[in-house]
Amino acid sequence: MIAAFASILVPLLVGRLDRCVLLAVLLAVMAAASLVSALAPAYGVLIGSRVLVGITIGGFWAIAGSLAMRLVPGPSVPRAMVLVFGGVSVAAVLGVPAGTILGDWLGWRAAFGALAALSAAVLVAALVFRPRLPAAEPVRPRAVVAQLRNPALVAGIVATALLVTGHYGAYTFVSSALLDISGVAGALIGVLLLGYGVLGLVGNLLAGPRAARVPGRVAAVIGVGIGATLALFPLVGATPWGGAALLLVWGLAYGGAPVTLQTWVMAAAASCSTSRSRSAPRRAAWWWTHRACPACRAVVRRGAGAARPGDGAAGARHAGRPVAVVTGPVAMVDEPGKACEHAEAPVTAPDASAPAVGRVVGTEDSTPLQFSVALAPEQYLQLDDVVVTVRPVPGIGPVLTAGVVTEVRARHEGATFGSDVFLIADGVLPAQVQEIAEVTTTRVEPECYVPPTPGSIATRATGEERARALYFDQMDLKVPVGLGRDGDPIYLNLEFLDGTRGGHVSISGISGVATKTSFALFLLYSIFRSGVLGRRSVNAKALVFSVKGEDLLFLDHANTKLDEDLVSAYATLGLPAGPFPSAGFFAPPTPDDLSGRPYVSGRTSGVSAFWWTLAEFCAEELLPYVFADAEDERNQYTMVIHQVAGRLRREATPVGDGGVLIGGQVLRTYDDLVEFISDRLTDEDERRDWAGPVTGTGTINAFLRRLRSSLKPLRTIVRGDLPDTPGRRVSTDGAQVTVVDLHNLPERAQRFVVGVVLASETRKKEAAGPGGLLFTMLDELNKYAPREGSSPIKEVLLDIAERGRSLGIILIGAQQTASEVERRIVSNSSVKVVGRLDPAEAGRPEYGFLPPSQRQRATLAKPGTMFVSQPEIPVPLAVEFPFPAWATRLSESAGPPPAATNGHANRARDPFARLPAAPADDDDAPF
Amino acid sequence: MDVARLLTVSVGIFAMITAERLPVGLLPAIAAELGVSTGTAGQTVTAPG
Repeated sequence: MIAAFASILVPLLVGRLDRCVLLAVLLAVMAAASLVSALAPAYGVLIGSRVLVGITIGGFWAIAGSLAMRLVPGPSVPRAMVLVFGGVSVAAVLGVPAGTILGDWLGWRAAFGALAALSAAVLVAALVFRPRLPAAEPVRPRAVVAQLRNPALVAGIVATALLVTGHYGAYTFVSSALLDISGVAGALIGVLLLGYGVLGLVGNLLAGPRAARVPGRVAAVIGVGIGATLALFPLVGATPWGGAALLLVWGLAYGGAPVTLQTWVMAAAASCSTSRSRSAPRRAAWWWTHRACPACRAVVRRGAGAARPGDGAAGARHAGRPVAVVTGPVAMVDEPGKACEHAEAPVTAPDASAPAVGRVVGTEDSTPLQFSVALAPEQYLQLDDVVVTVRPVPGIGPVLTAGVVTEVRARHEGATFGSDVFLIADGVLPAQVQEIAEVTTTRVEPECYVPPTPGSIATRATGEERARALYFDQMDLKVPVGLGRDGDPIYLNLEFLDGTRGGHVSISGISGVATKTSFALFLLYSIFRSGVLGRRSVNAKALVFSVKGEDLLFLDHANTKLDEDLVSAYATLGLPAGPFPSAGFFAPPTPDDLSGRPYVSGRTSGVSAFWWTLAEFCAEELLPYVFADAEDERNQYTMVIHQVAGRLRREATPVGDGGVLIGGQVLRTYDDLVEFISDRLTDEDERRDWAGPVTGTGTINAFLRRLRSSLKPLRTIVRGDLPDTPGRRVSTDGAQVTVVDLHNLPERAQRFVVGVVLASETRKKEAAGPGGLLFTMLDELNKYAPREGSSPIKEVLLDIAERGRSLGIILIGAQQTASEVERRIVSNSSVKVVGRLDPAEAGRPEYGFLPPSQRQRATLAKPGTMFVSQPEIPVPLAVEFPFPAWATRLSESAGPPPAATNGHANRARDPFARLPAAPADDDDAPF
Repeated sequence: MDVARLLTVSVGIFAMITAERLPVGLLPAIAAELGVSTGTAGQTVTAPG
C-alpha cells in the first residue's frame, strides 16, 4: 500500500531534484530501515521499519523508468537496460529464496541484517561512482488525474488490484502454509520458493505474447489458475509433495500476471499508444521488457518481480523475422514520448483543456516547417484542420508551432504483405491501424525555428489558438471569406484588399463548377456588410461586369431559398443574411428599338439602358477601344486610329440628343459615323489630313475593313438617335454595387464597354484623389488582359493592377486559367483564390502558391469550396462560403427590391421622356 | 566506470525488490520470536507493498 502511494507522491514531491541524490537518499533510508528490522525488539518497531521500506520502494519505482537512458550515452542504452533490469529478474528468482535460506540458517534477523549491509554497500558505491541522473520534467498532478477518467483504464486497474491483492493475501503466508499444512521441512522452503520463482519465469514467457493480443482473456485464465490452486491447497496440499506441486503451479500461473495486467492497463491508457513499436510481436516484447513505466508501475508494481527484460521476446517472430530482444527497449527508449502520460516526458499541452489529438511522431522527420502527428485512438484530423504543439526551449520558454493539416495517412502497422489485411481483418494477425497527419507550419511563436519534439502532445487549435495559428490575431480589420473545415470563420486581412498593404484579387477555376463569380460577390458582400470598412463604406463602391446571363441582375432581391441554416451560417461569419441593399443595374439598349429599353428579359424594372452618344465617342476619343483585339495591335493602322480619333475630337460639334455635326453633316448613328470616316479616308484630297501624310492605301483599307466590321457589334451602344438621359451613363455613383450586364453584347462590344468604363472610372479616381474605394469585378480576365500582345484595354487593366492600389481601384479578376492572363496582373494580386481546377492547369507554375496536396485537391473541389491564399498566411486556406443570400435568378427572387436602388433607372425607361410635356425637373439626377 | 555505475544501480534494484518480499520466507520465525500471530506478522509484507 505504502509503495503504491509513494510511487505517485514521490515524483510530485521531489520535482526536479537530482535523481542521483534521490537514489542515495532512498538507499540510505533502505539500509537504515533494514537495520532497524534486524534489531527490532518488538513487532511495532518492525512494522514501522517496513513502512519506511515501502516508501523507498515506491520512490525508487517512480524514477526507475528512465534510469538506464540517463546513465549511459545513446547507443549503449539497450545493454544498459538489460543490465539494470537484470537486477529485477534476479531479485524475483533469487532474492526471496536466498533470504529464506539465510533466515532458516542464521535466523530472520540475520536476513534483514544482510539486506541492510547490501543496501549500505550500494549506497557507498552510489556515492563513489555518482551515476548522474539529471532531473527530467516533473510529473504534473493533473496528468495523473487525467488518466483516471479513462473507463477502460480504470477497469484494468481494478482487475489488477483484485488479482494482485488476492495473490498476495495468500503468498504472504506461503511459508507458514508449507510448514503447517503441507509439512514441508523448514530448510526446504527456500528451495521451493526458488522453484516458484523459476516457474514464474516460465509463466511470464507463456503469457507475454498472448497478452499482447487478448490481455483480458489471459488475465481471466491467470485469475482462475491462481484461484483453483489456492482452493485446492487444503486438500491436495496436505502432503509435502502435493504442497510443492501446487506451489509450482501457482508460480506458473502468477508468473504471467504482471505482463498481462500491465499490457492490459497500458493498452487502455490511450495516450500510451503512440509509444507502441511497429509490429505486434515487437510490441509484445516491448510491453514485456518494459517494466519501468514509472507511474503505471504504481498500479501494477507488484508484478515488477516477474518483469525481466531480455527473457521474454526470444520467440517473438513476425513475417519470418525474429525480433531481437533488445529491440523492445530500443524502440521504447528512442521514442521520447515513451511510456505514457505518467512518464517523466514533458507535459507540453499548452492548455490542459484543449483536446489532444495525438503526438508528434518520431519515425518521420520533424522539421520547423513540417511535422507529422500520430493520432490517438478515437481521434481524427482532416485536411485543413489547425493543429498546435508546444515545445519548451531553454532560455526562450515555450515555443508554439501551429500549422494546417495538409495530408493524412492511415495504415496497418505490422502488416508486411498486401494479403495481411485479410488476416488482420479476421483478427488472426495482430496489427495496429495508425493514422498520421502531416502538418505544414503556419506560425512559430516566438520566432525560434526549432522542430516540434517527437512525443509532444498535439492539440486541435480552437478559439484564440486557432486565431493565432492563422494570424487572425494580427489583423486589425478582417473580412470573413467563408467557413473553414472546422466550421469557424476564415478571414482575409482588409489591408491586403483595400490597397493599404496590397490589393487585387485573382480568382481561378473552371467555369460552371468553380463558382468564381459567386465567391467574388460574396467577398464584396462581406466587405460591404461586415462593417469592416467603417466610415469608408460610404465611399466604397463596386463595379461588376457580368458576362454570364442575367444571374447578377437580382442582387438586390432576397433569395427564396434563404432558410434558417443559411442565416445561421451568415451569422457565424458575422454577416446579416440578405440581398445587397444598394445595387444599380445597366444593360445595353434593345437593338432596333428607339425607346431605349434595356435589353433584358428576366428583370422588368430597375435596369437602366446604357450607351454612348456619338458626341461622347468623338469628344472622348473612344475610337481606339473599338480596335481592342490583340490582332489590331499587330497591324499597321494603329496610327490611323489615333489620327482619326484626334480629328473627330477636334471637328465634331454636338447637336441635340447625342448626335454630332461634322463636316457640314449631322450624324445620328454609328453607321453614319463609319460611313463619314470611310468617305473621308477614301477621298484622295482629304485622306492625307485624316490618316496622316504617309499612310498607304493598303493600311487604310485594312483599317476600314476592321472599322466596318465593328458596325454590327457597336451600333446599339454608340448612337445619337436616342433621347439622352442621365441614367444612360454607366456610373458607380448611384449605388454601392453597380452591375453592367454584357451578356447580350458581342465580344467586340464587351471589350469596348469594359475598356471605356474602366478608363473613365480610372480617370475619375485620378481626379478625385485618394479616399474612396472601387472594387472592379471582371470575369474572363484572360480575354481582356491576355498574356500575349497588347491592347488599349490591357493597358487600362495593367495600369489598374500596378497603380490602382494607390488610386483606390481594386481589381477582382476571375479567369478559367491564370496561365493565360498577363503575368503582371496575376503577380500584383495580393489575394489569390482557386476553385475547381482542370488537372492540366493545376500543374502550371501560376499555381505554385498551392502545396502539391492542395493542387490535387483543387481538381476535385466542390462548388462553394475555394482555396484562399493571402500574403500573411503561408498555406492557402480552404474555405466554404455560404450559398448566396440574394437571388441569383428570377425563380429565386423573393420579391421587389428595397427602395434604395438607383432612381434614375425608371426614368431612363420612361417612353414619354422625349415629350415636351415631361416636367423638366424630373430629369435632375440626385448626384 | 559506466559499468560500475550500472552495476550500482542494478544491485540497488536487486536490494529493493528483495527487501520488499524478504519477510515472506521468514514469517513463521518472526511470528514466533515476536509473539504475534502469523497473520499479524504478514503485515510486514503487506504494509510496504
